[in-house]
Amino acid sequence: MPESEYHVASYVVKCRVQDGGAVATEIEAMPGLEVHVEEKGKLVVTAEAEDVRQLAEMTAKLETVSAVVSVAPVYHEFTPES
Amino acid sequence: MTVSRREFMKANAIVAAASVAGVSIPAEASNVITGEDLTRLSWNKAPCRFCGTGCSVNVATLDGKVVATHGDIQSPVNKGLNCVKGYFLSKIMYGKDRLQTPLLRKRDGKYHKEGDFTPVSWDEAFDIMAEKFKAALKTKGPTSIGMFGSGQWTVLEGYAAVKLMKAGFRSNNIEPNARHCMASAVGGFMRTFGIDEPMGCYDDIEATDAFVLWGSNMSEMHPILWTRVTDRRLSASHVKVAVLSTYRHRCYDLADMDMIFTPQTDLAILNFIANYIIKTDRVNHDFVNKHTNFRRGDADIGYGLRDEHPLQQAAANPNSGGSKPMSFDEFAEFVSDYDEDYVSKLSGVSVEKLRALAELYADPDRKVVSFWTMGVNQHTRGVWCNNLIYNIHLLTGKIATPGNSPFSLTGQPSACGTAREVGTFSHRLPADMVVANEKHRKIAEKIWRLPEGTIVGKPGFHAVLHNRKLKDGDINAYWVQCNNNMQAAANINEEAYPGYRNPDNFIVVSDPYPTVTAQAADLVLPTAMWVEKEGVYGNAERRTQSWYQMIEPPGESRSDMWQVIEFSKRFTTDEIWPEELLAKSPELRGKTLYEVLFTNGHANRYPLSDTSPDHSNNESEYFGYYVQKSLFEEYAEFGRGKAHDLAPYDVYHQTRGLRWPVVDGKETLWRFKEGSDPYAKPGSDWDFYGKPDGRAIIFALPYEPAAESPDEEYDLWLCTGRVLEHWHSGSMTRRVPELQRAVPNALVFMHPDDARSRGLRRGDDVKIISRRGEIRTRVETRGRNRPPEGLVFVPWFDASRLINKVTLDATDPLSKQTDYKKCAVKIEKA
Repeated sequence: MPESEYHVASYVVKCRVQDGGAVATEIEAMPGLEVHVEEKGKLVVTAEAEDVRQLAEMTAKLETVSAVVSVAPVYHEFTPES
Repeated sequence: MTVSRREFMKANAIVAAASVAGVSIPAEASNVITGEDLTRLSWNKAPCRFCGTGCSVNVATLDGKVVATHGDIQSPVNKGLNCVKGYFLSKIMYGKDRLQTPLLRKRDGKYHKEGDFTPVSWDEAFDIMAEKFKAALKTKGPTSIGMFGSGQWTVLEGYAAVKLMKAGFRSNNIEPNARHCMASAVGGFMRTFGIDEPMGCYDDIEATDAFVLWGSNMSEMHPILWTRVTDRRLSASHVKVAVLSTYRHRCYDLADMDMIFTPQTDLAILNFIANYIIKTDRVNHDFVNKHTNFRRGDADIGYGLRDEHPLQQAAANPNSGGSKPMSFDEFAEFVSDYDEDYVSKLSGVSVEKLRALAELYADPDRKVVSFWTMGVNQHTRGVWCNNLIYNIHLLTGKIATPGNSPFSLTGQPSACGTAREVGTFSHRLPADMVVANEKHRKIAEKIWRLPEGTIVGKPGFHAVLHNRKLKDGDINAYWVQCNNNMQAAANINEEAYPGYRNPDNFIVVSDPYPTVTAQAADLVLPTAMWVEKEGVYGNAERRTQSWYQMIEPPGESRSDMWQVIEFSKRFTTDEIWPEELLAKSPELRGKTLYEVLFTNGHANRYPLSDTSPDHSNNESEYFGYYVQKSLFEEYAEFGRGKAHDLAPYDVYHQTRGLRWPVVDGKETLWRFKEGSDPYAKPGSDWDFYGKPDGRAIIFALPYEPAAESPDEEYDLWLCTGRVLEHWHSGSMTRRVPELQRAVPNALVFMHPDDARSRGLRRGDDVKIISRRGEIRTRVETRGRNRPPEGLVFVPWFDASRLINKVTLDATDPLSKQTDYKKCAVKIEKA
């Protein structure tokens, strides 16, 4: 396993429709996390990280955002840095 | 690495999530221009390696390594989603301690039971292994060898193993770890319906009005199905969710009706519901009269312990599954004892809650799905408990139609496909047939091109007996594949470990990783896993799914199937078959088991050229024919035309799986119902054709206490189970850093008042002690599992804290499945 990696992951985050904006703002404020779509209580979120630990921590953080009902991971890819 | 490569990866991630969510794809991701080297990822589908849900996962490889996964949007099961285990699936193959070569215990250059593990060649490994198996067969016969397999075996691996054991070695001592998991479910199906596996399917989730969870923590154990349940509950306000368990867990967050009951009293609650349905005159008499029979089951049947155990000696009808016919009125009289006051007092659930629960089932205008897993199956009355759940669905006719579904969930990816459908149990043959039935043996012998009398009619030892027989020295050569039974079996201190280390025994363990079981073995065989081979799994809703080999296994690793078939070359019929059998089939005399079982012209009828040109297939390339397809098609002969029909093998590579029976290319969503099941006879409406008269059975079975309950000294119930992040014994998930980091060690979850009264605080180091053994761990009084006073919960994934030193090996006397949910312990400061 190479020491340095680039990881990208995506999630579908669900909340009540009226909370969408606030949830998006809170996630956007977290380093490495980005909201790409916020539509009717569904958010498409990506996480970028330099190692697996960082990624795990970011996944855990998403679950603690207030008003979030569920976090479903969808995609994960990793590659060694070159 | 270029920035554009990162952008491409990110765009892929966004598109995947947006498609799953059903939202518009943002511009930043929709028009990524890619060069050839950016799209080098090769994507293929595979069912997930973990639980019985059977999610489909898309797997990407690059330069021979899995580098990405995402939920398969084309899959009807998971619709593009993953759970956290599936999400990190790509890493299970890349643990740092992956075994690369066979390892044999040696001292002074020779095999020695007390020697150190030393790398050896496959040849040397199979030499000593064949020597030990031959010695056992010669000295004590076929009952002195055994094999312990898995619901994680592929269908084809399980099938090859059954052939080698039951037809080749003529030993029925083959069991899957599914005995610990699904045996009571199988027993329940066979007893009530005469045919195994759920009649409904996951489509019931979106069609129902109520969910009742009986001893199932779906939120953590079947997260993707739980997502579907959640979506149904949140999108239809009339839908109700009822959760019953012996401690509070994550599912309670969604519960409209929450109940914590005293262990073992689920039996009484189920009888109360039947009584309530009758007393409030909501029996569907038309359905009951046409489609059911009533029977009174034998009671006081013991606890599946050793025969000399006092509890066995005290039982009136030890191990009896017998029953006698009775009338509806007699049944009504029987359940009338289970009134609300008695059951409320016994179970600790309030009368109001019991009534509300019963009303869900009784209300003729409400469709109900019951889900259950280990709380019901790992139960000394597990078969009964399954029977009693079917009772209430049958009394109301709420069965086998969309949204009306008693649904037994499974824990392993192919507990249904391999363990149950192939029949890798000591008493079974493929397609629900059994060794004790002469007609069934003849069918198997015909398909396998073997002389009559090859298969032995006496069932072999069941899983829990394996360890006892190893300890007693009755089984001397033993092969474990694809599971971690030294960690998983109950009471390992007194039974399993002494069995493995008994100097008379030779223990072989095939595994990708040095598990606790591998470390207790004499020979360890490095094993290919998941997409390192081609395979087939069958999930909980009868869905059969296949995948191609995508990468090479590391080092000298070989698949379980290669190991079984290659090992068969070491034996000839005249070495191990009796003269009487050889005389019946002179053409087989002197042939190897490989020739007889795997290259007899029928079992190897599809050529190598039929394999996929785009994928490696190590087994087929090695043996020179399309091994998987040949075995699958031979196996499918058992079930075609007998309500277990499978599609042609190649179809499974083109689809996201099909639910059997597959008749005329069409899968079956609801069995036993005319119109949706081609096997239900015209005009029958419902046809429970597993029973000769087409009627399912409603059983009168009482509440009986647990094998061991808390007393003055051992004053707490112990319940064991899993957590979301780890799958079973953790031999795969503990090697994924994210999962291991999230939940590194097993804690004891207990009520804060129970902790306080013992002078304990959260985080304290404690000993959990039973009559059989003890372990040390730390106290957790918060978190996701919140037991009531008087009960503690300990997960079993942690090899450094083996809770099964403490548990009791009491089993259901009918299914022989262990009750991991109930024994008595005490807790002291360490």
